[in-house]
Amino acid sequence: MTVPRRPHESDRYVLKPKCLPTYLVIDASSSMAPHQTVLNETLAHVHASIQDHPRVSEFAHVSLIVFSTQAHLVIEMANLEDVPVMPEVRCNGLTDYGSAFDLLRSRIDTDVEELNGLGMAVLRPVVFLLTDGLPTDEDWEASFQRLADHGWRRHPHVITYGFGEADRDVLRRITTVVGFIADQGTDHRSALMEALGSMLSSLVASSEQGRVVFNKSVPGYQAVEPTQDLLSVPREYLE
Amino acid sequence: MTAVPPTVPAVLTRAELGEPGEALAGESGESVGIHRLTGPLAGNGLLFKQYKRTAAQNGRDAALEQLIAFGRSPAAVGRTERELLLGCTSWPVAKVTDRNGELVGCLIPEADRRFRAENGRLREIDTLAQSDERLAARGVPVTAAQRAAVCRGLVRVAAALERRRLVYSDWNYANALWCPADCSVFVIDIDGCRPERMPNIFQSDWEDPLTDGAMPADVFTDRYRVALLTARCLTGHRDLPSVLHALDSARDDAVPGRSVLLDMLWAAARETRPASRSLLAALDGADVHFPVERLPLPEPRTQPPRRTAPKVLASDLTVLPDDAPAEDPEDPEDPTDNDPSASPATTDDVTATAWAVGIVVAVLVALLIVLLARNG
Repeated sequence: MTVPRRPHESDRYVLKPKCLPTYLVIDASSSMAPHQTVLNETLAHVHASIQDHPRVSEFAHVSLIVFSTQAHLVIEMANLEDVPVMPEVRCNGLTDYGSAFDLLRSRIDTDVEELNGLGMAVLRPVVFLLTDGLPTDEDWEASFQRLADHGWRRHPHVITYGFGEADRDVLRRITTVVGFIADQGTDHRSALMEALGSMLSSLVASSEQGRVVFNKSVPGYQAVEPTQDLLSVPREYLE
Repeated sequence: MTAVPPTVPAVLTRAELGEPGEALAGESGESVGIHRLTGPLAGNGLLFKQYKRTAAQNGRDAALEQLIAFGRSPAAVGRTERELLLGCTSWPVAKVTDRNGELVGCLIPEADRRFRAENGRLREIDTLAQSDERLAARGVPVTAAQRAAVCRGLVRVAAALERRRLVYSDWNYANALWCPADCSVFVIDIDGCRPERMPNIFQSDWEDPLTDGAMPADVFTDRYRVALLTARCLTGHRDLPSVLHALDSARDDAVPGRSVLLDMLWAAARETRPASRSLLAALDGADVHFPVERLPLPEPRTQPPRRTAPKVLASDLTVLPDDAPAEDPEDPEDPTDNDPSASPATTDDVTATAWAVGIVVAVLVALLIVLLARNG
């Protein structure tokens, strides 16, 4: 589904190339350790697919953040064509959502600034967050509120995928567009592949439209509506 | 030339195709998806492209019938273009209807295997529109002669469509495939062509500056878009200002057809854009020039020096910058934010004010120092 824009005269012809800052945020806690190989294979597949489509990599600049006991910036915001190989993600530790949200907020300011400096027309950032568990920290919700704060003009669209022990209610509180919770019994492998496949198809479609395009449904997942006050798009766009 | 299999009628019902086979493409534009065939027509190199319901309602039916009839015609008129279009495009072979005769899709030929990369993926022309360095780094080194040969193939298709007065409107990175070995091309999504004019297909980064979004696409829109695709493939540049400046500063022998391309891209009036066949002649080496008035070139895109490769880190938190944001991201809820280029004026104002305040402060400090020195 496309996030619509209202017509604007200058939309017709803008010489600045549009750029969608895209954050792939992955839960790399110890519960993901048994699925580390699948995770890395799927990330490598996403990387190769984006490299095969230069129009996607030039539009959607990507940053990879993983979080467990702490959040780590693994790949700085980049045209993925400039990243020769995806680094391997190792999974261990707790599930500290708050550190991920805090890191995201600081990175968005840095990255938007840099992309503007490169002469890009920078769109609202989009975050694809994958998690297989519940947060182990206590202040995660306050961190997310700061990230999703509508008073901050760079607040991102957040699309989430939950599987394994992920909880529907938590998911709807860390989502601003649409969340997806895996059907009961879905194995991690398929859940990961479908989630990253969904992200990839969103990015391909977004690059064609020049705006954020996202899936309303993902095989093996049920859609989760975000809490009303977190929505980063008007509700009618989700219907 | 791809011959239409003699046993395939021009119109089939959905039921005659059997169950849809492997999906090769998902929803896009007016298409629900593209599938292999499983029924009696399986294995003949044809695919089923299924349309959305809207396709039947917006006049595609009659236009599709015309395309199919042209492809099957034995007439001598148009034979040159027919052979070219059947060989180099996914020209529709048959219309597919439901039991009530409503249009539900069409049969199209599958792209030849040579248009696939080693990993099996289709090699979109997107991958050619890159710098020599980047192509070499990806293991697909390409010479200027190869670029020109591929572009001639593209423009031949455009010229054939133009000669048949057909509008395509959909020239972009994804709709043409190329083969590095023989520099051939294969244009897809061709079943959407309409005679004379058609709805302007919105494509980010391919918008014709002189065709208002509400205007239908016509031959002049096509000339702009095919010129843009050709110029991007020839120069390896992708953003429009860089493409225009690369064409403007190149030697004629380095970028064939550069003058005609500039005319097609930057003519002051859309009706003065040269025809695709003129571009083809220029690509073939003809010394072609037109008295086309061009717009002034846009400012070149200024790019501050950037690191050669992004850092791959194990990571550390980055401290928030404390200076004011240059621009704010697009907000789909707020039309004033929709144009990401809308705020530089404000930024400039802020910057100018900061400079002015700085200068006044500096002058005051200097005066103070002088006064103190005199008093001292």
